[in-house]
Amino acid sequence: MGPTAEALHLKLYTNGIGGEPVVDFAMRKAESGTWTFTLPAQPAGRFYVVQATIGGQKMAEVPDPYVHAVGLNGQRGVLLDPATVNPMGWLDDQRPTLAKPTDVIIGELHLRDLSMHPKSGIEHKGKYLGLTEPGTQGPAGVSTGLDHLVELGISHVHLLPTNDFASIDESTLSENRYNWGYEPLHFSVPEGSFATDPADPAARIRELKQVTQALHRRGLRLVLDVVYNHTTDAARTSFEQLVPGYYYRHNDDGSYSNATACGNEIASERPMVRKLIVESVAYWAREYHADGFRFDLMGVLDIETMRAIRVALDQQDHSILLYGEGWTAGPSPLPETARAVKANVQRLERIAAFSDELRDGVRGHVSRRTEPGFASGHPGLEESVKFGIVAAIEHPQIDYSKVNYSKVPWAGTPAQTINYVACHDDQLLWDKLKSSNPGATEAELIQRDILSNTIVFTSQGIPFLPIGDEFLRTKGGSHNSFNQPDSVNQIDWGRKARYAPVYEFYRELLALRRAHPAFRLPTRELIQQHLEFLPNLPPGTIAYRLRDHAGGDTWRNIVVVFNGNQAPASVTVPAGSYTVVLRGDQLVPAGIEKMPPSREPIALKMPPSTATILVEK
Amino acid sequence: MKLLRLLPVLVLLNACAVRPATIAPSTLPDFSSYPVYYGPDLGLTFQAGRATLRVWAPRPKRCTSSFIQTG
Repeated sequence: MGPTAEALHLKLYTNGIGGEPVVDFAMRKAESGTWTFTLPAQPAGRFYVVQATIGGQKMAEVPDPYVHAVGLNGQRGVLLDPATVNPMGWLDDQRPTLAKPTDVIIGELHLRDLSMHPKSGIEHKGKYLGLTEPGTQGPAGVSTGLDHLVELGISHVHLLPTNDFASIDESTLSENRYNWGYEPLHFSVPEGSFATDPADPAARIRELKQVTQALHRRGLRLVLDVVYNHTTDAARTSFEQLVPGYYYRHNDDGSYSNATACGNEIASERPMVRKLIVESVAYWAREYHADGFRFDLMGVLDIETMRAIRVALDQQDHSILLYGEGWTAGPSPLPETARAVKANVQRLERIAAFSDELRDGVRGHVSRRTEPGFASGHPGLEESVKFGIVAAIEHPQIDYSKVNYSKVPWAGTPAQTINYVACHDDQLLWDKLKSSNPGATEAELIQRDILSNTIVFTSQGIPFLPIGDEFLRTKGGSHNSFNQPDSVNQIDWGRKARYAPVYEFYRELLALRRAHPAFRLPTRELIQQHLEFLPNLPPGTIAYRLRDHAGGDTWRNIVVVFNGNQAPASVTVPAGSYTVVLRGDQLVPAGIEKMPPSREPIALKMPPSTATILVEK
Repeated sequence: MKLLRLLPVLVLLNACAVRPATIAPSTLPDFSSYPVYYGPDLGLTFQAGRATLRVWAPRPKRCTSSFIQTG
């Protein structure tokens, strides 16, 4: 015997908040635990809620779990079909082409961060529409906003949560409160605070579609950061008000389990929860034309649900990208073998996970905050970085016992690995470099910054960066800016002008990756055949060769060398006739200089904290 | 790993979560006995200008009706 509903009422209201119901219908009992009711053609009110009676008690009024349109603060649903709320030209909207997943380059972004800076040049600050404005300029005339994203050369814009979250009171937007949005209220409705009018149910729908449309028109794809692992305070949700307990996992004592560190965790393995999640993801792809999904704490969700999502999306488009955090933030009652954690990625075909091995290998340990990484000369991290260079697939030249986290290769293909050194969580790269390199000059920090992302963007797999890192973005050292003000979080476009040479290097680096398939090998076998690490290297250095026109590259051999040490190093590279295309902060694909041909192995002199790329054509 | 991002919220949540946070173990239902609806039309659907709402909220089984009669 469970706490199940004896009656379900559908009530209509005139407004999204306040007032009394204008009509109250008893819903009709239907099959398989459902209730149904068909409204008259001219309903008395536009906003709706349902209210269950359970154990003789009337529960709270809530929208239903499948709600697709809401009023202010998501308090009530709306009798509105989002398919009828489209921007001009929406029916002609098409995904930009994507040949293969290893061609992806992800830029992560919070909507407010892009536009809130007073000098962003963007009119709709903090809004969906801010991301649709072309031709915006910041200090010294640098391009900002959408134009910047296009200019940088990414393929996918990954937006922090844009589904309706509870953290921002949409009735007091003039207070300019900030939140990342990891506090879901409704899974399948856009967030209202990013809309020009959160009380107008159509505005958030139309304006998010305008975002997709604007990105697609400029050749960019959209990834939505989706949070299905937990909800806001469970008592507030339609889940607990309609089917108490069902949607959440519990400890043996009946309390909510908390693998998310957010107060509850979703029981994705239960059939009606899985159905809701799968249909929600498919809905975002179908109705909003989303091109990819990043799963927050994917390791909380069960494997079958993630597989079902892949199958459902493949019915729309095989190129839709799926990736997530393959870990949890605490213990879960669901056994790890059943969950979508990193260790189970090989059972999650065409779903990727973030590699914290390369991240912490290059930049330094996530919780030992002042500890630097390979790029700042910290010893013993070579194998962790190499693990990421081959995109977490099996490679015979890696000593897995020395890798920082996973002691086995966890990816089946390079398309299952996201490589990065920073994201919204924890410190940005520049802030981490500053706090782990006390006493270093700005020039030295820039060298280590450039080395860090040179490793990321030459590695196999799918590279990722938080937008703004390409011009040394800072949050003033913040480790957790989830609710800190815009002054901390916003992108300061003045830095794009101030650090113009750094930005130009990043742009060239992304272009190098796009131009050379050797850095984007699509299969494990190709990496194993064409990527060989060079032997007998001094500590604190890594060198590898992409040989024999890897991936059909025009370059016959590419030698990539990293010196993480804060001192010069000598690295022996194979005999050959090389052109230097990258050295430190210089990147010239046509060649910086030609080295004298040599029939003997070459002792390459590496300055401190630098990368070098040599090619044989 | 990480995810200290909601710690302040958590502290708040825990402080005020007494009411929703517990279903006593004796009353934690057997969720696997709940009926499953496989149809494609949960939520609102629109046909010929009329909206139909379908919501999954299982009812007590007949054999447990003593609970309803007394409750």
